[in-house]
Amino acid sequence: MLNVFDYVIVVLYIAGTVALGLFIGRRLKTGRDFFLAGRSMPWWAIGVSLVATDIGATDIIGVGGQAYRYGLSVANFEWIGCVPAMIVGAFIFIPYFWRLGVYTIPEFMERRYNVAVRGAVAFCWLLFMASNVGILLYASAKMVGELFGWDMTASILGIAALAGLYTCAGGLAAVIYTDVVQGVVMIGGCLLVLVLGLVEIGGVGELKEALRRAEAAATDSAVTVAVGVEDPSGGAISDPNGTPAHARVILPVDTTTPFPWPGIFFGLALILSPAYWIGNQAIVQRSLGARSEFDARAAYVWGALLKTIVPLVVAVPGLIAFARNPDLADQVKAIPTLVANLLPPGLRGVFLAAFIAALMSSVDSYLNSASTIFTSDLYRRFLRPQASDERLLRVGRVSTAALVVWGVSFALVLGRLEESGVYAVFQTLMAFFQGPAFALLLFGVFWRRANGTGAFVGFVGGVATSVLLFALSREGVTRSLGMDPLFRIQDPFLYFSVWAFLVTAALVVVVSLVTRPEAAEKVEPLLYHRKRKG
Amino acid sequence: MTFLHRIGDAIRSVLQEVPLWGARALFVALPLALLVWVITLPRSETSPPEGARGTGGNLKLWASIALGAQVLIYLVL
Repeated sequence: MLNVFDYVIVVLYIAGTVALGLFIGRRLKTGRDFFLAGRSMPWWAIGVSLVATDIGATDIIGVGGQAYRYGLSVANFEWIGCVPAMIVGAFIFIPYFWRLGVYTIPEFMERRYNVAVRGAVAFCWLLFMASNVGILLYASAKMVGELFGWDMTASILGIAALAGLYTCAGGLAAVIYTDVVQGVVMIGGCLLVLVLGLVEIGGVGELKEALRRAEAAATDSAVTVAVGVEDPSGGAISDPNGTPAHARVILPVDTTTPFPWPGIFFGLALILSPAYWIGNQAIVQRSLGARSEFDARAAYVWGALLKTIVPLVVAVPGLIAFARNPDLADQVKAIPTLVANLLPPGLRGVFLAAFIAALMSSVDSYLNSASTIFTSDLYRRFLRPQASDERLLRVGRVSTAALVVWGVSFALVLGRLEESGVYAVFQTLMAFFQGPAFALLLFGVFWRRANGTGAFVGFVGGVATSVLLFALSREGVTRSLGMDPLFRIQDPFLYFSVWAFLVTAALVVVVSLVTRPEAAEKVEPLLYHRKRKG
Repeated sequence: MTFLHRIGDAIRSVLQEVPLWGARALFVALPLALLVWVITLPRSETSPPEGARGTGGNLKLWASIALGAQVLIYLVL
């Protein structure tokens, strides 16, 4: 599938990215430079970096594959699942965190609540981020192994070493500026596939016609069944207005896909998305490195604008793939097959560079943020409170290197444990505690009466709820208990994040009200106050 | 069937009664409400302190475009 020109493009891209990261690293002097880029980042770079970090390598191929199987409903993750939360973040939470001058979200938790809440939240984030580095490496290496026949171990080692090298050297600034290059390559590579695909199919109007024909042709396949909006008798699946099922964004409650509208609206738009854009250290950290409060706000607004077009370049190619070839046995092969058929040799290298860019931009962000949490919330908080800024820089670099080693080891272990279900647990890890952590942020910022005891009990209770619901949605567990799975849709992580959030919120309210309030002089400066009109 | 199953089934039946146009209304209402909120934000929260970046520095405008696009998407698709 690939020829020498493709590999030349990929090698040039990788060499350029690593060189840029190393060049930036030459200027670092302190821990503040390493973790917050010396608070010097411009809005445009942060905005692209936010989007590049959010789109992982597996998303480039995975989202297209999901669009192939489930249709345009997958675009909800970029639209209502990003834009509203980013706008709220831009005008309330991000400038608020920036003004506080914190390094991490757990640091805010201690200022507002207590050290136990900081420790619990930091532990969960560190566990998630360190695991996620391994998951990203493993899932991507598995994908390129299946698609291009590359050796999985060599892929894991190669990407981890390259991303680790410039992240160690350049910290957050290197992560953000390399993300800008990676974001441009990623969007450019996918745009190429979109434009060539639409030209070949004859335009947007013709795509709708082609989708309708493909759905009719594939009525008996697993693909159309998965869309879940067909006539129960197994008949035609387009609606009376003639909209192809694959072009629908809002799916009914009883769809067999993982994207019923209540899950998307209540679980994604109201809980997981704000939790991600407002409370995810890997995302928020780059805004904390903004050169001004205005740049921090503008970065999120710019990111929200970019997010509006992302589904066009990552999801619509999946629809094009379905329209061209509705009977692929494996949805993961939808985008690679489309690329192989559409792009001439030489340009395929651009798409592969986009895939590697998406992987590196996520791995570098999680490495840097995990290292920040380790250094700020564990090392400086509990081991060496008096450590100099120069020492924190060294600790940051060493911990980044250690996380690379951990990520590689974990990725290799995952390969052996995939069948045991361990992989599924780690894949869903973020949904376990994001809802509870978001509830703590909301109450911490807006409710004076929320206290440390309520927050700690609420967080533990919320995470326990997530774990319980996850277990009760696993067939193996429920079979051994002699009961039906609790949820009827595939991957119900959107639903258990809602319940975990609600349980945390209820516990925070009840326990805070029956225990002693925090001192007013501690809480009052940390509450959100809207600026006067000006 | 456990107590949790009964709660889930009750919620599912309530949600099944909501027609898809009702769900669509929710998807449109969220960005629309935020759009109204953004428009009413004070200038001090949507412009740089020096106030001299022209249209490019008017975050109210860009945020309104992003949210307006969401309203349009969920009205049309």
